[in-house]
Amino acid sequence: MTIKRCLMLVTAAGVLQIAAPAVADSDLFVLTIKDHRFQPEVIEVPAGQKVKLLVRNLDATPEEFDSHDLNREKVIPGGQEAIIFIGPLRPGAYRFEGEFHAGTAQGKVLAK
Amino acid sequence: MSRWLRNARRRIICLSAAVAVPLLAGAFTPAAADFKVLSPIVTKGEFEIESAGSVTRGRHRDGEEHQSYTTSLGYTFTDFWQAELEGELSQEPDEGLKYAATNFENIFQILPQGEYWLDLGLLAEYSRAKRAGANDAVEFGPLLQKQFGDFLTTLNVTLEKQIGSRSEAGTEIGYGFQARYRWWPGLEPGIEVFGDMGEITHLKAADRQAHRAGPVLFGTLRLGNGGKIKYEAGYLIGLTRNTPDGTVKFLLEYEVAF
Repeated sequence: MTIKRCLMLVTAAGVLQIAAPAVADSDLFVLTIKDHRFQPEVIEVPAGQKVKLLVRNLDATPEEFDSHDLNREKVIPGGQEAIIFIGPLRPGAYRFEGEFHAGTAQGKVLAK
Repeated sequence: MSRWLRNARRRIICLSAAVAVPLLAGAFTPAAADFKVLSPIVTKGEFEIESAGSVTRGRHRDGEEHQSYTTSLGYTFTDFWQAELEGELSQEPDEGLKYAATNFENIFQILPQGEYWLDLGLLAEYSRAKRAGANDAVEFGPLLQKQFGDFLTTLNVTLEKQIGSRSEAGTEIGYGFQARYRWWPGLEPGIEVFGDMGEITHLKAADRQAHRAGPVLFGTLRLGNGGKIKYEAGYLIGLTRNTPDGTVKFLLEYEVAF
């Protein structure tokens, strides 16, 4: 019984993933990490809708995208990239930083 | 094959292995409740050392105090799999503190965080009992999370099955719920509710179930070297006559990502 229920859960998760609407490519925003700084440091996104941040780490060392305001935390190894989904956000400013180089890697998402 | 299909296949294979290995390993005891609500979100490359505990006082089936403490080491190996090895000490009435169990906990993040309406993960845990007469156990269930504005809510539903020659036949169902206000990193006030409802096919009468709820403080303190200290402290009040009057819970964790 328990194995059957477990399989049902896994199946349900798959159905949920397929059925849910994906974020459109037009809602993709690119953020770059270079010399332990985010570029751009302020990124404008539309308020009230889900958007996708593509974070490219051009440095050789890893960086952790960290934002309490956005409730997101993601380690991006050197030379790699990661997708981070955020929103829908209320209009306002949401700070984020590079946890490993917080002295320089600071940025802000502006939802308008 | 699409990236989603490849990822889903890898996740299902890992999950199946985590459930199947303990089942094949043979004998199995339910772990003491650690009053911890688990997030479905994992961060690849994160290492953590955690210490948690709970002390219950007052009205209880045996009218005595119970204590349980755990210490664990965890690592997140992939974008979707975190594993934790945990040692558990507990004190039963008229006994000293004894090593009770070794737990192997796995969290599988099923959906990318924030992509869908709900974040979903799965828990699969094997608990190897050390106390004489106790049974090993497997525990698994969904971990659900949803943010509503500044409030982050998380629900764990767990199914626990004892394994071994003296094990109980049924599968127990329980839950843990947490709602926290994301005020500032160092302090997030919230509430937690935990319950054990009995066997999934024969739920206990409501007043014989164990439910407790109360305020909990959460927080994260940054250490400047990429490391973080996380804490939880709370007091849970018994809501039924089969639940202790009060439970003090705490958790302290050091985590660092590589």
